[in-house]
Amino acid sequence: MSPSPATNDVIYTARVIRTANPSQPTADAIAIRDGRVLAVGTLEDCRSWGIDNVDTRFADKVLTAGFVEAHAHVMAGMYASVPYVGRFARPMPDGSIAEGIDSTEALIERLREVESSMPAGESLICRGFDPIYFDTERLARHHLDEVSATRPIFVFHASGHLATVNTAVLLKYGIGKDHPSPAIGRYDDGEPDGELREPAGMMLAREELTMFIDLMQSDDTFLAFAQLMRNAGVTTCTDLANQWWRTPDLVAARKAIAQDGSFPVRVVVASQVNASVDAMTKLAETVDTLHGGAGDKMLFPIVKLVLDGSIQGFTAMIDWPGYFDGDDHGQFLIPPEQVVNVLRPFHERNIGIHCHCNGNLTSGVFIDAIEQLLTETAWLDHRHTVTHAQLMTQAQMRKARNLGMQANFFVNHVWFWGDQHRGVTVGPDRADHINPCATADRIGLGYSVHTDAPVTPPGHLHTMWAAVNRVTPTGRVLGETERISVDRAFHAVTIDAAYQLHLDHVIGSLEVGKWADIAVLEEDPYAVDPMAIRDIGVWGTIVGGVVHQSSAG
Amino acid sequence: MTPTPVIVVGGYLGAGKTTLINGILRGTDLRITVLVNDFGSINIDASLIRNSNGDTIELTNGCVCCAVGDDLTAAMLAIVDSPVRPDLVLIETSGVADPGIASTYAHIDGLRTGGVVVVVDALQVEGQLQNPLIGSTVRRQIEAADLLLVSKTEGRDTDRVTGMLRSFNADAPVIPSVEFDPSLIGSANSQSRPARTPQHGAVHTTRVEHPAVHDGASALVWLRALEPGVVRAKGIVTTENGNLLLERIGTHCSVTTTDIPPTGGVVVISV
Repeated sequence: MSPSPATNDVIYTARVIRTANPSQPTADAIAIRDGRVLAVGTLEDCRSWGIDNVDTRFADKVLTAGFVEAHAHVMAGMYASVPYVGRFARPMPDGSIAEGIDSTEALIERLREVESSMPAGESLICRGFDPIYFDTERLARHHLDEVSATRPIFVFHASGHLATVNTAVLLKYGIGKDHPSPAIGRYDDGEPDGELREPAGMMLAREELTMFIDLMQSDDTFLAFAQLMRNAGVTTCTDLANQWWRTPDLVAARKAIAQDGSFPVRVVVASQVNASVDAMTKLAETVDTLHGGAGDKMLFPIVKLVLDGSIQGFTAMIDWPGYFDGDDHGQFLIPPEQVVNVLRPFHERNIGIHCHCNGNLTSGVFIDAIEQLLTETAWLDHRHTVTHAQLMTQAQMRKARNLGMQANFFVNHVWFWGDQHRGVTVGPDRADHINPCATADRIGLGYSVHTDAPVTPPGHLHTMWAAVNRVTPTGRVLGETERISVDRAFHAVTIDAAYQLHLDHVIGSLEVGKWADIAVLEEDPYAVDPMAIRDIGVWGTIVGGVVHQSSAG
Repeated sequence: MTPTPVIVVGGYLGAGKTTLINGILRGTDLRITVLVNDFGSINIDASLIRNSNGDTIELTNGCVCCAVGDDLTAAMLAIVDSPVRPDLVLIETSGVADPGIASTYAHIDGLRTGGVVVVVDALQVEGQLQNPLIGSTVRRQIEAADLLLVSKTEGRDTDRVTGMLRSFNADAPVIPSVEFDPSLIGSANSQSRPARTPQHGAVHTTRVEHPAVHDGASALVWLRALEPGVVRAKGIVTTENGNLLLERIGTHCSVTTTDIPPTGGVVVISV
């Protein structure tokens, strides 16, 4: 006798289903009940549960375990309201593609377009400009004045460290030659050139900076973030480092949005750890409470500590022989001996810790701190994760493996900055081994890979493509010995990402009992030319059994 | 309104920043707002606390301490927006921060820079400078200082430490912190209480009754031309530009217009 079907039971068939379960890597059909996987296998196996409702709309598509992003940020959704002016073409939440900006002239042209349709009196704020990619005269106010002499224009650079504004902004705030701030760029004659450096400089354009920060934190950005993830096949995304915990009302409001069936992605909220030991004890209690009361679409299993800067910004802490070409501005964001103290409250409460380490001095400090915490308090299943981990040494990887740690490599760097790493930041040898996925496999260190969206565009077909091919925009293969297989990359962006979020019991693979989270793809990443993986179309996703179609028609 | 000075207290973890700030708060007759990363380290005397409310501690003497975490921008903007601005803002930077960068946050309407005081631990500093993890951080802190205070000097060869600090920062005066009276920073009218300055060691106080100052520009020139070992100078003089407040902390000089009456010269405390 067959078990009696529930009314919402459904079976989907597909060209192939990639489960990310090595015990049953492929299947023809999947049965879903109450948002969970009831059966995976042949159509017959699925029907044997007594289900007649076979939905064939994906019969010519490829279904895979939903992609899991263990390192991105909700602010990735800001491009719904802030024009994008970055170097590479990028998908927008509405499914359109914003073309890349590869020169000052292209920037001016794009801004003219945007400006012409804006209401009078409103400041133009855009984000993502990245002149590291083109040799050109430094962007200054006289360029932006060609767009408008009267409307304030604020161009936030991709690095996040500086903005360039037009003369209208300088006039608005009375910033002239005699302004004392050293955080203002100047022409040779001492007149401000429109460059505002670091927060101390950017805060001079107070309204524009505040507008930008408000936009980043708006509900619109949160919704657009979810749309971007859906369009990329991501079914669970981590917002790594946010400060929502400061405002419980906002947490509650966002949770209500996320728990609604129409919201297309599960959100892992990882609060930002800072240098205050007292505040961190309170934060650990808060996260513990939130974790206990989590919904299935907003979860709180981990926290994040940022410990250094970036390699391309020369602010990562890297060991001898240091940077290849450029001044070392490396700096820890909290004193290294303090790391163990700020992390202790989380470790003691079994809250996972992901630590931003771009440089190898930084990964060393974090690994040592975890060793100390494990000596104090046993937590055998901690899975604490070195995130970015770009320059981790082999000795560090062996030690991290021994301690039960994980890595999350920023493998998209190979494409987006690979040529710059080779020629400018760390030089050829270390660039060839940056984000060393294959070495981690040889050593036996578990890992995921990530986009750090909005730093690089969301979506794991690109990270898989980068990890498998390791090519740069100039056509170079960056470190052939660090390439990994499609199968390995697929696991890195599904079950292995779920593992380091402590969520592998519910997401990351299509297995009986787990949440029915599925990416619906137009092609099979295992079957296409590896160089074409990133071009595979995404139809949409299924999250907890609910179908969400991409807006990218 | 006269812009509020912002003095930055920097130095590596454990150097003695909090001891200095507590000393300033105990001896002050100003309304000071102190911005700290973390209350964990500040340990304010309980009898001084009037009210404590999450990120803010109000003291009985009218001063306020705020924990700002990572967001110094928001904290500085909140100060310039508040209806009653403090007389002085002190920023205690984190142990790895570059205090010179923190000081640049003071270049907004309503505030002005008041100098960078960096505390250095005489026992640790040599090892710190050679440590590959933090050596460059400590070096940048020393380089950013307008005034260097050396803590834990008991039994140490202070000339050696001083010489080393001078090799990174030739201009900032170097003074053992035990010889530094914190009220030199937190007092409205430092010459009213010169006796509080410990007079042992090389610290000495002079009063210049009639500085050769006739306007703002000449005041700045005059302040800068004082002997190199000036720890603190302060006074209000009447000029063609009205009453001017002349202030110097180590190498940091500032001249601002004020409506406070002249004080009868400028007091100069030097090593």
